[in-house]
Amino acid sequence: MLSMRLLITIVFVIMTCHGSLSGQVRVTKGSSQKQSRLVTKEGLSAQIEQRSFQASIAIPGSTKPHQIDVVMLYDPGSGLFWWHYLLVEPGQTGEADRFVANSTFNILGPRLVCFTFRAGSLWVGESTAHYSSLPEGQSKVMDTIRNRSGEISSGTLSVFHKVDLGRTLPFTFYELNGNSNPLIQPKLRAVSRLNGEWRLILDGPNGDSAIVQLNDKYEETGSKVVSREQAR
Amino acid sequence: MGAPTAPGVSFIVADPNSQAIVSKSTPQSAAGSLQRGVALALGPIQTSTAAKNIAAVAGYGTAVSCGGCAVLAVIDMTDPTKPQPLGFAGLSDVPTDVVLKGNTAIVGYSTNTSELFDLTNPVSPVSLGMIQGVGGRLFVYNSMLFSTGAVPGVPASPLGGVHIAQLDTPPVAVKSVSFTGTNCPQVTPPGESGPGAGCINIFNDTVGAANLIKNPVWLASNVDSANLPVAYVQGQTISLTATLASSQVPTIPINNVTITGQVAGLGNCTATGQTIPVQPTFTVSCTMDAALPANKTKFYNPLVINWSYTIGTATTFIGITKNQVYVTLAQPLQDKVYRTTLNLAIAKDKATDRPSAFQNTWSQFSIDGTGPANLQTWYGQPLFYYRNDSHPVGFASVACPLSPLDEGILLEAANSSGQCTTFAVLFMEALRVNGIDSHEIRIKGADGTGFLVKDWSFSRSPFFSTEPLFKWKLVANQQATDNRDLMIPAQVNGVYGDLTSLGTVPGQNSVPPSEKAFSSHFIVMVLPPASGQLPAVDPSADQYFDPSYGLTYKNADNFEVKAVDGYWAQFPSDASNVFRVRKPIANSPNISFCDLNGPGGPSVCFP
Repeated sequence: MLSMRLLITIVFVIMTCHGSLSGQVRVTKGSSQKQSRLVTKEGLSAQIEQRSFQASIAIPGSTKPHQIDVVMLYDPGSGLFWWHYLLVEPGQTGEADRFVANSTFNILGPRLVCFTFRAGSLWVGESTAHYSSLPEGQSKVMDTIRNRSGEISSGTLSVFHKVDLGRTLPFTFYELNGNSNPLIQPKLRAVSRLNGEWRLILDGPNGDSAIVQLNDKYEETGSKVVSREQAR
Repeated sequence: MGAPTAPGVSFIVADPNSQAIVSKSTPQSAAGSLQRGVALALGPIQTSTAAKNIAAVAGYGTAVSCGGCAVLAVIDMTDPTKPQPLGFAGLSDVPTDVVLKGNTAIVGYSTNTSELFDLTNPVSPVSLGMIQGVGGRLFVYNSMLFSTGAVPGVPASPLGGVHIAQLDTPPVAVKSVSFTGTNCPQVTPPGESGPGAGCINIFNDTVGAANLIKNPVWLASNVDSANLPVAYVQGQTISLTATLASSQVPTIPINNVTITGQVAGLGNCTATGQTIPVQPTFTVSCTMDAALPANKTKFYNPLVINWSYTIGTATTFIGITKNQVYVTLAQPLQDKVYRTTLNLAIAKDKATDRPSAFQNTWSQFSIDGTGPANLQTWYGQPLFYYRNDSHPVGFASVACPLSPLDEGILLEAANSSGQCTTFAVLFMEALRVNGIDSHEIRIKGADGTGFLVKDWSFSRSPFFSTEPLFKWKLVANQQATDNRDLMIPAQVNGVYGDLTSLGTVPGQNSVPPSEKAFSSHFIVMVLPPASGQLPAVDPSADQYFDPSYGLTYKNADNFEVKAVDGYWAQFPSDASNVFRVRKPIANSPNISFCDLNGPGGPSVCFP
């Protein structure tokens, strides 16, 4: 866990010090949305704040602006803040909502962790940032977007960690039987803590489930395929 | 009554009750005359206006067409005391007998022929033609014309013995035919009440259903195309059961009838000592006297059976039946053989060993390993690999589960569009028809990425240009990804962000297939031969067969070279319809093959 926190710290240090081109960021008028989001906080359900907006980034030397969707989560109780951006096409809407809807969020101690499944891979994104309010967090986000616009517009700025389940879970679990469609994939049903580890339940496309255990470095420590009923 | 001749009198009528002659005459009119009789027949005929009792007399006299010749005289016997000549017809040979059947007078000749005359208009008898092989003395029974060679002074006449000819419709007709066999274990498939026809259970695949083909497979009421095929293993022998129907139920059983089904090249199927019962229908069973050709595949398209029956020495043709017959090289390895699968395995026949059987089957899938042969079902329906015509299908194309193998999922699909597993399974099952086993191979990106199947063009200024590998941005139609598809609906002009889909690599009946980005692909690996067997494929040739594209591969690396244009992944900051693509790296291949049927299980991959 310490090394992950160190990694996050380094990322933020890099984000602060990186000599990336600064871009102009403009929030798309009328795109901002605020709502509440159900997360798991210390093992219990809790409502936290969610805000999303769309922005365009004008990069010096680039002929056309880049569009991004930004989603932020804020826990007023602990001050924990998490954000993420998605590269979108001109006119494309709803990507932030799509992402959040397919992700699971957990607050555990000083961190807010996002688990999401994308095209056959499990990704984990952790934040330890704390702010006094959501607007303060958003202000920091805008600074980061401006300062790291080159990396953001190219999609290379990311704190997500990929967990390779393909090495331990058989493809017969995460691929629909005999089907080559990469978009039919397991769904993340639940994330909890057990014996000091993360315990994920994935519902596979073939009607079975998998229980995956991750340590605090988000490394897989065990996994097994079980019937859907056994996966509780 | 009779027709003995006396000078000046050729026709005498006597009353058997009074034993008195009631008339003596020499019938003559403007149409001709009867100078001397040879034989006569009495009976009613139906003219256009009324029934009329007549006498038909074969003899000599005159007719309009001849003076002093053999004639058929028709005489009105309404008043036996005053017979009235109605008409005369010249005969073409020496008459020996005459019989009546309805309005038809049949005149037997001293040669082996008889001539038929229509007496519907008795004033003008009309010749209907000749029957060869029946002549001399005649007798009619149940629409059969019997004759014997009682030709005075010619004891060695070819008419000696009894000859029979069929009048009107045949006395019996084939109503249905069932195929079974000798030395073939008839297995009842699960869920069925009995075994199928022939020696191999065939399931007749059509859209939405695949029913077991059961006997009878030929019905007289069917159009030809509705009659069904049967299948055998080489060297087995066909047995037949025919149901025959009597056109006129006999009043007494007819014994010692021989029913024969004759097949060119296979000899006869003969049922001797049969009895035509006093019933509308009866069945006969027989076995061909020659086995099906040994050690080679054969497709009889169709097998034609000429049916006949024989009473005494007279043989009468009673009909033709036709059925497709498939002959396999070995006992199929599967219990359920679909008709299309069977057709793919056998339609190109004359395979004499495993290699030639393999090549014949592969040639249905591929044009010399360079591309798809555009598969069709047995009834000509194209089978599409990710259908991409006016009704593109995408990932709604059906897929075959990895076990059990069941290509029926594709064969019965309403849109006839399948994913790679369906074509792999169809090919494997077609090989299994001739006893050739194979394994299904799953292909995946070794690093867990998906891959793009050729052909794509890549932008020279990729979106992620600063990235070391995943430089190119693939943008799918949002509607497609929302529906968990990738390329259906397609992007306009095939432009998917930095990549453009090209139509240069066809799949089965699809140019190009409607999906080209996959998490995995499925092909077929030929197995090494068992001890004593010939290898199905030359060991120095490619051992991996891709029935979806009609291509072959040497190994995983060769697959990457031949089939892969890129690898794709999706990162957390990518929109739901966006993927990042890298090109294959020279000398660093990224394809793994996994033997789904291998001893280590489906997750064991190589290299």
